[in-house]
Amino acid sequence: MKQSAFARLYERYRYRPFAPHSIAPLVMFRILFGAAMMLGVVRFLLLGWVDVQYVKPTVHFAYYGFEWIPPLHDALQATTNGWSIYAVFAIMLAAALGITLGAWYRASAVAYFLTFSYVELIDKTYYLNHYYFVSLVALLMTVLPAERECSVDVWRKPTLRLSSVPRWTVDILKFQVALVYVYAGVAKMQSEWLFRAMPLAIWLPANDTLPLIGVWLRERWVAYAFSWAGMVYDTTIIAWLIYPKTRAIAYVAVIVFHVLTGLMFQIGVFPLVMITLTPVFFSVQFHERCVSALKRLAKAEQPQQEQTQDLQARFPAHSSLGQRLVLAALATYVIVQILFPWRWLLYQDRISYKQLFWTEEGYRFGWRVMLMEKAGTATFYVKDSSTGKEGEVVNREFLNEHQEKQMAMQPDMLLEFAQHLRAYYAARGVHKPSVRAEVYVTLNGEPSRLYVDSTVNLAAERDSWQPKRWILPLSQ
Amino acid sequence: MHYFSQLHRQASAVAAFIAVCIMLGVSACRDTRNPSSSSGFDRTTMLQEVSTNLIIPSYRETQMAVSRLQTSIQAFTQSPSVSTLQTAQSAWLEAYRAFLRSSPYDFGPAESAFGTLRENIGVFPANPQLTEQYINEARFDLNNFNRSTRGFHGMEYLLFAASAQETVTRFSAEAGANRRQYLTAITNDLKTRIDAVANAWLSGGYQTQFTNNNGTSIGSSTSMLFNEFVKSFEEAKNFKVALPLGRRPGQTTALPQHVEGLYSAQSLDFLKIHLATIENIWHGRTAASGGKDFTGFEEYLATVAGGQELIANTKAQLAAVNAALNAVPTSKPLADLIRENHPSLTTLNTELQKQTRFFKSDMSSLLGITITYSSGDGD
Repeated sequence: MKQSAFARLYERYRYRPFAPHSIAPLVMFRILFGAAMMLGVVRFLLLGWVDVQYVKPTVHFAYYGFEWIPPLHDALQATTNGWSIYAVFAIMLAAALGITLGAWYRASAVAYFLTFSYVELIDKTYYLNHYYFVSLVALLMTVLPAERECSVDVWRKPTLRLSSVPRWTVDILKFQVALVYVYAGVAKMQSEWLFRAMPLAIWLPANDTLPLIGVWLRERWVAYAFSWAGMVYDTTIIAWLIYPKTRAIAYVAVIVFHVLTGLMFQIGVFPLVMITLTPVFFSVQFHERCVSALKRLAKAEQPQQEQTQDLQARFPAHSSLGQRLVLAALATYVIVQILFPWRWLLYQDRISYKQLFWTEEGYRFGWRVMLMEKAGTATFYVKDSSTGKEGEVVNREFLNEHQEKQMAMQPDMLLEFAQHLRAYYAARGVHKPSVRAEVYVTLNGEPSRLYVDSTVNLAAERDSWQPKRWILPLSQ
Repeated sequence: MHYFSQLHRQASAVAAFIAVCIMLGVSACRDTRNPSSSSGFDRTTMLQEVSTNLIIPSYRETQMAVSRLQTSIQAFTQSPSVSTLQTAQSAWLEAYRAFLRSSPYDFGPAESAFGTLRENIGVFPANPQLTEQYINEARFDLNNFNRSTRGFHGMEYLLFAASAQETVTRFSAEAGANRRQYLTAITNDLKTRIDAVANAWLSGGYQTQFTNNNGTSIGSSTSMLFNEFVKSFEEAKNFKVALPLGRRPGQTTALPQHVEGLYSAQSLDFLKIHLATIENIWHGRTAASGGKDFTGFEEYLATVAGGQELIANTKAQLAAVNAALNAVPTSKPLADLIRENHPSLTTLNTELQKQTRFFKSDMSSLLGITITYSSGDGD
């Protein structure tokens, strides 16, 4: 019975993703995404962060499963006299321009995805949810036919022009944007956020010099109001954007929200990215008007050659096998995206967000943004196993400020640093070094507590999907 | 065409809000004085009081002491004798003690493209070999980055390294001409650098800027004051205690010759002044014994969530650090205590280590001070 119900559902909806849909939203998304990314790259270069984050540091914190990236980066830097990373950024910038203009689009999208992800994977110190988001969107863009209208590629080769695309190509982007907001909202449905107003009760008073609203930010009730409003906003904003009657006011709310958070917190280009990508929920008509306005502006109106080419030429939309493949790929992507952020539950004996904040097991890649105020001080001790002599490490001799700050409160980074120290001192004559760390962490304004077992030789531990037993429990 | 008017309405609403937001953004760059609020903390008051009562007096002291030092060096180089040397030595000690009290404010005017004031004139240990080489080669231009050949510790080496009679001999007659000129050159360099920073504060120009920059983001005065405060504390711990003690990984022996103030043998006194200065900044207290307590980090912490607990913990640990510091014997120079691996130093090192987290991570976290440039996680 169950199976046949599923089969009925499948039969009913399996063609839906392939229904024709105007290409306009996809085109606008491409242009806005590319433009925002160009701005992001230029900003990053102008701030001198390439040098600070990727040239100067001698230690990089690798992502689990991508341990080969930092050595690759080091090797490239060494063989090119330090300019390889700038070449990567140059390619990234050109690729973002290519995406915006729809020029050599497929190559541009692939190049952008690869260069951007490569840079992110060099060092997880700089992990941000919105960088992960950009990587995912860039990945999606590599397979979407976003260049098939209003692009240099179409101008070069008019037969490429499409007026409609399969519906899934737009819906998958909506799904991705919606997931960020809804999950960010769900993550706020916990007692620290709602009933202690943490961490906003710390962050808002620090912003009391903002004009107009600054004075209010010192008030405790304002932190509660912002916490609840933020939760409601994140959870429901997509619904308000989808519903035509509330769309305009919802978008105004998007702008106000992101500009405000952008003023208060040091969150870089994230507000801009969200303001430029949420219009994907606007009506098809809106996007079509934008596209034709753009075309008039560019005076690139081609002799009106009606859409003759049909979708199946490039998109195997009507071949049953092709459809099934696309459906399978879409389903896999969507299911992974929906489930992966919940893996943290598997680490918990008693489900608690505070425990999640403390151990950060399964924390990344979960759209948990601006959710905790956490900081630590980590002192590492390296011991020579033959003499028994133990020395104290000065972290700043290995790490920049940002790396030290992030490392001192994240277990997997503590581990990586310990392993780096072991290798470093072993090469400098310390016999079989063991490395232990005394780490004190404060979470949401509570007194700092000992974070990991300070007797454990961290250099001997391995990172894995398994729970890290050497993290001390939050309650002790 | 009704959808165009609808679009137009939507678009103009959006445009209006963007305009408001931009105006908000632009005006955020300007200083706006907030009326004092029932709750919360007025950072402007803290910045005003700390700069008026702590920072400026300490730089004024340093400037005057360095001025006296220069005078006594002139007297010594014009007629080297044990008496003029001793005057110069005590002038150096006074000037260095004053410098220790102003050096945690190593930001703003103290920053330059070629490093901060402390990096330029406070590097130790001195480098005797290179210093002697420069003297022999008559290189007085100081046109190099070997700061361990000049600054306070370069002077200390020249004034204190040998016995008084031997020092006078080295500086005397034709044979001592290069040495006299080198000492004069590094003294003048020291004075020029101190004067530049002190005058920027004393003229009031920088103080206004300092007081008005009353936010908590990176580059704000509170963030700079906090960062340099922590950096200064960690320098005391790492380079004035742990390193000479041989507590760095891979160090097989202690390095007593790396203590601060090796030649004048006043290391422990210097360390006490340094740590007392750190403690005073935390309180917002002036340097004089029984100094007046103004609005400082302590008062700031008292107004934030979790602040009272941190204040209690910090005070308890400061008491432990001071007890450990006072337990170190004063009968011998620090370098000698290090040579004999005196247990009181291990205790001191441990207590300083315990203090670190209260200053470094707990305080910035509770106060919401931004200490790094990179973007954080947004939503």
